[in-house]
Amino acid sequence: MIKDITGRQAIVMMAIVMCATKFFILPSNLITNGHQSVIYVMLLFFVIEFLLLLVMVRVSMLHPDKTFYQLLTESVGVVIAKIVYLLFFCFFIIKLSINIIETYTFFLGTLYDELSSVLYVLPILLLAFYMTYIGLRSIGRSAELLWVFVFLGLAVTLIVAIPNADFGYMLPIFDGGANNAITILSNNSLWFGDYFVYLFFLGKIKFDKNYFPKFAIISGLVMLGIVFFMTLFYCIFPYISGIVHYGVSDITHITTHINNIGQLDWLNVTLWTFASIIQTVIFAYCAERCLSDLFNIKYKYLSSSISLIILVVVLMLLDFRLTKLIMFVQGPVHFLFPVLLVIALNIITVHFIVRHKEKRQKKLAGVIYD
Amino acid sequence: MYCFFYFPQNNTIRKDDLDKLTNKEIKSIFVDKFHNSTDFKVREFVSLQKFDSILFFFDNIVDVKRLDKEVIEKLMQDSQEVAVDDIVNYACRCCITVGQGEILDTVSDAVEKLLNGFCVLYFNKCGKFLCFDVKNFQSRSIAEPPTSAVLKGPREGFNESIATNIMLLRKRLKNSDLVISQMPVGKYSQTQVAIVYIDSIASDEVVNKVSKKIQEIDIDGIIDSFYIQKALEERSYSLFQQVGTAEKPDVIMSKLLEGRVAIIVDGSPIVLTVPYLLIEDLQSSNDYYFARAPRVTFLRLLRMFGILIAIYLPGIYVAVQVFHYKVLPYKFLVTITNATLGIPFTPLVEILFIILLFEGLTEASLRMPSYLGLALSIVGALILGDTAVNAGLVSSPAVMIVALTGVLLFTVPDQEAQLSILRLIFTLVGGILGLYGIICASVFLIAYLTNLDSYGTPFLAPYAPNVREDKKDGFRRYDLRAMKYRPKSIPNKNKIRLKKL
Amino acid sequence: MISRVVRKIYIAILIIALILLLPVSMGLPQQTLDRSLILAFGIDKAGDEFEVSAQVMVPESSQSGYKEKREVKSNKGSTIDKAIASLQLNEGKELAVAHANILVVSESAVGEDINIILDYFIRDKDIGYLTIAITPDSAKELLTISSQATQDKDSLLRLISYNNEYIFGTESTLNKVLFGYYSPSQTSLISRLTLKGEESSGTEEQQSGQTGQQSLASSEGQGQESSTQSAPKQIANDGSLVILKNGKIITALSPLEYRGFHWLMPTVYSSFIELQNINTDTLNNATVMLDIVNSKDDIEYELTNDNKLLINFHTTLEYQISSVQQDKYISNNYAEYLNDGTKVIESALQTLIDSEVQSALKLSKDYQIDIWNIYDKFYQKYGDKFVKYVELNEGDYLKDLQIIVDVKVKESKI
Repeated sequence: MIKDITGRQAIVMMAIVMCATKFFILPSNLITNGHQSVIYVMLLFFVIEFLLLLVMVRVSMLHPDKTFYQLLTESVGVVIAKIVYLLFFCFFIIKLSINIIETYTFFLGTLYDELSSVLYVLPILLLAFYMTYIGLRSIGRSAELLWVFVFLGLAVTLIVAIPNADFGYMLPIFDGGANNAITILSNNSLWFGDYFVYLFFLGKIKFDKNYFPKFAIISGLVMLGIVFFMTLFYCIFPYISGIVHYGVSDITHITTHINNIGQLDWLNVTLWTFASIIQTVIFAYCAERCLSDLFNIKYKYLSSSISLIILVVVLMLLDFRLTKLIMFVQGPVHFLFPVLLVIALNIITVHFIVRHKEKRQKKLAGVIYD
Repeated sequence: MYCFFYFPQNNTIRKDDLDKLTNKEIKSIFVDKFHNSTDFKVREFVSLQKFDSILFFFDNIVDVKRLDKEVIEKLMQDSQEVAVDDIVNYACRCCITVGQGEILDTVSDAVEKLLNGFCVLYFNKCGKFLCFDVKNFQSRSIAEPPTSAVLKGPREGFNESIATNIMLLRKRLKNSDLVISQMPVGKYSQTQVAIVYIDSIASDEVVNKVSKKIQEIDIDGIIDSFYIQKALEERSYSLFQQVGTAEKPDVIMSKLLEGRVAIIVDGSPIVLTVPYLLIEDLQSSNDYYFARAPRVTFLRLLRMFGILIAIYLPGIYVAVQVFHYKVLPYKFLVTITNATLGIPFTPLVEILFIILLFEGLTEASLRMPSYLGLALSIVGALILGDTAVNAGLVSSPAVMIVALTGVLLFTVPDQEAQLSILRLIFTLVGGILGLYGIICASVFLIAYLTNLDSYGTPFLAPYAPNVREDKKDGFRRYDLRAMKYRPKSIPNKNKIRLKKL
Repeated sequence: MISRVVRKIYIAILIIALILLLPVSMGLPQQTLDRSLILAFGIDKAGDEFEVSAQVMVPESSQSGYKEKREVKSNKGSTIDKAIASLQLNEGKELAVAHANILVVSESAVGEDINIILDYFIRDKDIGYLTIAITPDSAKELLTISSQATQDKDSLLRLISYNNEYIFGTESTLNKVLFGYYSPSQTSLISRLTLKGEESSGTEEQQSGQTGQQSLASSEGQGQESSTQSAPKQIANDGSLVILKNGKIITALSPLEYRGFHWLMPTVYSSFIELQNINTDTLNNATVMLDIVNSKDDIEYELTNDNKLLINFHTTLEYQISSVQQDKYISNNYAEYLNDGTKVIESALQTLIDSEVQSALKLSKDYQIDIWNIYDKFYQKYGDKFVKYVELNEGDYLKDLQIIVDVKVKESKI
């Protein structure tokens, strides 16, 4: 099995994917009605996600040469594996739609007065096609090169905004109960679950020394960073978060003196767009992998083209409008995430089934004795 | 005094045997072969006072004085009694004092030697040719290359003679592991191409790959090392070169010591090296010969920023004017707005116009006679810098930006051609799609570069993929004492290069 | 083979896109020449209509040096967006509002709810950071005077934002105002600008020490008169603040009145304190100016068992004597005049702070304005218990609020 990416590249890609589009409209969506309670619920939710991610990492290290598809087929059979892949394909297409429409709306509201949706989508589709065609190795290296600038921009934004936040607004914890917060979070669940992309890196990672602890620390920090961002956003805009839509740029609007030297938030926008594009490309790669394993398509350019065409159809159905997207994502398809979560929870079962079968085979071959 | 003599293996003897031909017959064969060329000379004389001899040579490429003194004079003045069958051996071993000599069996071998500056001697009906190396190819003297000037450090540079270039390397690397493997390339030019590497350091795989590629070349003539470069590149249509170049022997020496393979081409002062990393072009000889590590780090970062400004600034300027006026601070905006008021061109057209004007000026300045240089440069400066702005055709910020980027392109002269194209591309993209387009194009460029490999070495190493040890000589340069190991990115056999300093 | 085909198709798409898009892009003009660059907005009320004034940057051709010209354009409409739309129509150009950083609203335009005005500006994503000021005079006149300044055309911004933040310690921005509007306290503070000229304006009444209410009334009358005067006027910000409750103007506070609130705010900047009628062994009715160089506050919020709200305010201040005035200045070596006077001064300072805080509390209760964000503080500590308390008091949680002030002062030896 050719190892396309190093452990460090896998970590960097996961870090970017996990937080890229969580800083646009998601803060406003969650916090307007959920207030500080939703942040606490999100923290608990991230703990579960973190543990799940660590399980996935462990599985990948125990089966370093097997892809996710191979693991599934060996344990649950081809039919179920294909069903799972079909679900994941739908998931990634929806994630791509969220990413593209959200970033488009964000650009339209910040940097551009007018921006044709076709002109916006064409470069990103060409880029996604090109990068999925050349492969994961290039995506990993590009992410490895760009991550410093992306997180530097974010760090500057957060540091500059901290003095304007009153962290007292995080109290009391769970005012009015957690049910409302849980409902809001589940309605917006499709903004989460980005870590599923790790399943499609299985079998392609060349593990470094101390890979597991490094991964745990970085992904933990990223999740804490997301929670901190939400906290900061809420503590700066506790009562007006509903009318402040774009977290990552509005959070710098409130600093007084920066305005005199130019709009620093636009610089941050530019840096953050790299993260959004990398995330789009990774999702496109995962969608392409799903499709090619699903239908045994040999040629990458074919599976890539088909998945992008399906994406374009979905975008056209959603009319490139954010309101339609939110209704769609919070409506009929938001069950997809819990389903996939259950599937992911079963990875551990899959892993044990495969291990058990391997052990049995070795025992039969006389390698292991009772 | 000794002579190297080479007895060709049986399997290399060609089918055109000499068959005890007379001098006259041999003469007519050679004269016909060279189509009566006027520079092809034939000298008939008597050797050892009894053997009729005939000497062939090209008078423009041999050292005639040496020929007279060490060949003809020796043969004519010697009166030793020698049998007919032994004349060739005697002449080679005991008489002629030229350093390198060979005994040849075929006319085609003799022709090849004549073309390489040898003289060919034939004794009447002896059946073999004797050839001696008396070449005297005129070439440029060793001087400092104009594009690699240093403040302190060696100033020798390669020239067009492969012998001189090999000499410059040999005198620096006095080790038996330095291997120089020379071969002729080109049907008509028979250009000598030498593959140079240190056997105990360079990877055999890279060496074999380079040799194979060069041997597979089937072309009429090699005019410059660029032709070999094209053959060595795995993606020859790419905008970016995948083979390194250098004009100085100290640079090549350091690259050989890192495990690279150098290729010297006769007739070209540019020596090629593989594998190649993009970061090499950010490194300069000055960085190693006198500047301290912090200063070098600063200079390399400056070069990097220079490149980024050179390729992005015009595009960002156009994008900001056409799509994103919000980005600019207010006072800057006022200055630009006032400066561009009344300009008949749109921002994209204005910038493209000025870029093309500057490119034309650069191109013309390369070709214009030096006595016109001053006059034309004044015209260029006045027309562009003053008159065009005053006439309201272009704005001063645009002129300043293009001029600045034009100068900054030369912070890394080896990449100037590529960066110039990139500048144009980003300007177009910025004008069409704005900052979003520039971002997408940047990601595309990065993806493209990360996908390039040079003989198994990632192009953007040591940054993508991350190779921590190699970063000691990347953007940040550590002290010389820290560089104990050869670069991990370059395949090599021997890892340690510094034990104690 | 396949990669060659793919590469060719890819390049063909790029070239076609370039051929189609390049001619269009080459015709796209510069945005600022295509738009009117707005730097400040002013809102007045003309009858039933809003009059929106915009300070517009007018480009002047210049290849060297910095030149800036501003003009004020205005138009009317029944709502803010209609007024701005007709302004755009009259201009014949789209309005570029990204660099607009000031909004001046006349008191007459505020009306029943300032949010009718502010809602437009917060929702326009192009507008970045907006500083707001209220004026008893004409907003349009304010903008006109500011645009006519030959140098430093940003003086208006500096007057509001810089002065407010560094001298008076408040922030009068759109975000802050709306924060107060939407918060449970529903209280917002906006800085007040007046026109100072040959005719008297509101500032003179304020200097005489009258209450904010009176100065507002007089300045309203003055504002109408002053707008017809042709004498050269200047924009003044003396630090007074307009208090709005639920978007409606309640009162205006002078800097001295506002200082009482200031003591309990987290950002207390150094300010000069004037102590009058200081009598010591050596001083007789002297006026001592103190400079507060350092302060350390501790505020405790307590909902007592007998359902009373209590704030315990502990502060430790370090001061330096700036000047002592008795008949004439004694500016050097006044320490020898104040041998035992330190205790008197400290006692006077404690009394002053306590009285100012209690006055501020009284003002809060009288006008039901919660400048201290008391609701938020108690809610953060007590949660639902405090909500029940508010319900019990029918929303008037300030009614039984008490503030116990404990001030420790000491002279700074630096």
